[in-house]
Amino acid sequence: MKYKIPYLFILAILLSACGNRSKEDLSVKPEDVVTEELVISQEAMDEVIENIASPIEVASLLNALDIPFSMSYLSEPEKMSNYSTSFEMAYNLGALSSDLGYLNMYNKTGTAINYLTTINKLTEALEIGQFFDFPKMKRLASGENTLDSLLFISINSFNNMDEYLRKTDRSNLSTLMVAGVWIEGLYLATQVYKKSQLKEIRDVIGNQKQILGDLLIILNKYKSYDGFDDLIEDYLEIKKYFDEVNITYVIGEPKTIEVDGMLMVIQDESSTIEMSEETLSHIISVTENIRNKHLNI
Amino acid sequence: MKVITKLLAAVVFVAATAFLPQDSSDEVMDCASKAGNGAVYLKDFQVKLPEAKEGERPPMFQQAIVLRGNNLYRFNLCDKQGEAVIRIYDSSRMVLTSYDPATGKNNNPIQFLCRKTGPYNIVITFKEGKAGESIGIMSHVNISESRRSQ
Repeated sequence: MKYKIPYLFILAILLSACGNRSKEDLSVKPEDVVTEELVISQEAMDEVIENIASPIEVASLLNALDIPFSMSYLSEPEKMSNYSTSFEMAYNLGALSSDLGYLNMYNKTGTAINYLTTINKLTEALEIGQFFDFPKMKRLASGENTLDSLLFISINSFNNMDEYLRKTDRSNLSTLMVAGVWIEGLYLATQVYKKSQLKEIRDVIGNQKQILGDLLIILNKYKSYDGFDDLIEDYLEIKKYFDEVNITYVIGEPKTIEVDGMLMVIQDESSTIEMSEETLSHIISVTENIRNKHLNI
Repeated sequence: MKVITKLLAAVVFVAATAFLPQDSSDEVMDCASKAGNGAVYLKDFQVKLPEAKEGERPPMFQQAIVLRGNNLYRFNLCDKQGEAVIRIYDSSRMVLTSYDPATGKNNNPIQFLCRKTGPYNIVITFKEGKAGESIGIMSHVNISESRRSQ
């Protein structure tokens, strides 16, 4: 037995040496990466859907631009807890998640409790309540210095619900959540633009052209499901005006800088968004109408 | 007899809990907290890859995501096993890598100032094709805060 251990040791070293290939051989080459997925096809949509609209990004930008908070931009959660179809519930859950992101970004956590209550009802009705820890979130919303935790748990819950719906063959509901997040984010941006006229917000609105195109591909997959036809028709109405937006890209030299000891890669492309005042005005009004129609406001 | 019963109960408890799904949210939250100042968690990538086989492509995690122009994103990795490397590709080329093979330097976290709204591919691999396990976090960073800190 005592002779076996050194043999096993040598064998282990030899085996591990066989597995040690050069870094060059094992580096990821561009051809290794499946870039075909970047053109969003029907087949690839499941991969992309989870990131198409985030409940926090528009709110984060508004906060960064020191745009004052306003409750008038938000939906009315009291009206949303009475929905009976899963279509309505999932869509409204998305919109409410976007509102919750806005409230959290502005540290209006006390007000967020109304939204948390309605979100809780909707998640339970949709049988995804296990991903929404209502007591914990309520406690965090009522506490002090808990904003980071609340932000994390809100977004993480949304991601987990989205992932679970897709894994349990309810991608249609996940898509509706995303569509709800998107319309509420666009509504928020357009309403803020009406007051601020800031170029940064205008660009955020213009950039939705690309995202709406991707979202419509995903929505179209569920065209035969109840309610989708009407929603697609409405989103196509918004797209009609986005088709008038022209985005051009200019290739430049990439930059790498260090900020506070952290590397930052600045993309070497810049975009120019051409959008007439008339087009923007149409986008603002059609977004408001469609958002209010689907959120029963 | 009592001792045997207690031992059996302990074995049953350990066996049962070992097969319960582990809540990964705490690990993700812990990793998100390491993203640094001004970062707001957006998404996580939980990656577990086997060792590369001879003559085959290195195992990799791929996820298509949509990034928005004029937004600053931060990516950080928390390795449980091996050394993970994150790369971002657009439709034609690599736009970011957390590991520079020329200098051997790991940049973790690393930030990406996106200028073009659209789909990108997040690719996570482990150095030298070794088996590994890691959590990747994508956060949104307030640009004005980042500028203020410059």
